[in-house]
Amino acid sequence: MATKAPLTLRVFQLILWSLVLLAIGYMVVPRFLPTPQTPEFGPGVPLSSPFTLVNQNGESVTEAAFANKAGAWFYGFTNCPDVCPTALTEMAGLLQALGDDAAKLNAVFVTVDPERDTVPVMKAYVEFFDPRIVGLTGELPAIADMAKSRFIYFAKVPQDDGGYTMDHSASIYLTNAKGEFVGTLDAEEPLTTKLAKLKRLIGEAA
Amino acid sequence: MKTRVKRFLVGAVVAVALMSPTSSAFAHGFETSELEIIHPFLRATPPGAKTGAGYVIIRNSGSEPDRLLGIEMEAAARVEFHQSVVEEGIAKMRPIEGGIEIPAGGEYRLGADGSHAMLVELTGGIGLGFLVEATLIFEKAGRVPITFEVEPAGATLESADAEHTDGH
Repeated sequence: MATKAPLTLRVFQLILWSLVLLAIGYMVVPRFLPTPQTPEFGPGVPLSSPFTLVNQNGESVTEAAFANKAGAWFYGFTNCPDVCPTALTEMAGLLQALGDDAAKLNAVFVTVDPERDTVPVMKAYVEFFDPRIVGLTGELPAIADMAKSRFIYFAKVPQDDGGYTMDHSASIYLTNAKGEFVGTLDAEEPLTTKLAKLKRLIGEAA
Repeated sequence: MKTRVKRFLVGAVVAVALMSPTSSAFAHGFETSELEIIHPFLRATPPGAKTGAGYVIIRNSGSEPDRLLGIEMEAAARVEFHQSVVEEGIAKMRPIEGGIEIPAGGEYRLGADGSHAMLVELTGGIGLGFLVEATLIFEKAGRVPITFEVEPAGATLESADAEHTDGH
């Protein structure tokens, strides 16, 4: 009969061996697991993830309503006095400049502040700029899911006066008829550059 | 016959004058002994809007800086000074603390670099073409009554300045 080490020592050895096995496990196992997708944002990335939101007429709409058509998407909020009216004015100006071709483009304003931006607020807001702009609101989780899957950032920022403002992705995102990201319209660009981008976009889509 | 032609001409002139937007037809500004308040304007807001934005250029010909501490108007519960910035593609709005300094012999352009007066809790709509009375409150110059004109929703200091330019 071999002499046994004292029980405490055996327990200690067992713990040590378990730790060694765990460490090896941590190093080896992840190699056999599928690496989580960390999608790089850039041209060609699909921005057509499913969603169910509500348009400015109170109708439930999904991604299907925007399929097979180029799109210009802006994410903002109506209590934003500076950046958002500028973006929507630009969008309206571009739709006007496109004339009949504007029908080949989805112009969409998605609120990132659905708490305040209810259906009637959205209706008054988008129609003030151009009734061809579709305003989307909905439940906050639905908005958050959609934004996340489309690489849109937003966050609520409390203010001293007890109210809050929203940080949000600033650009207008352009998608082709396949729903893929093709580029942005940035505030600093001249209108002619923006218009050229849109014409190219809907030209491709046709 | 002649009077009819005359009447037609007068009518045509009046019609053309009426058609030209008032905001660009006349320069618009206010003055104190030291300060020149150039073309204050608000952006027209959608019906039911809770917030609005105002812009103005303030020039100080004095030898001392002054400070714009606040703006009061019946059209809004309060007016705050904010700055919109875009950092790494994210639009953010932050308060400008402690008022706005108008440097001696210089100017402050409220509207440049994303700065703006934010009108909070509008008491009514701000329609295109409205005139909105307000009081600018300065540390030294005191209370200065002015009138904001209302420009289109996308108007910027630059677009307004282009119309009101004094050549600089």
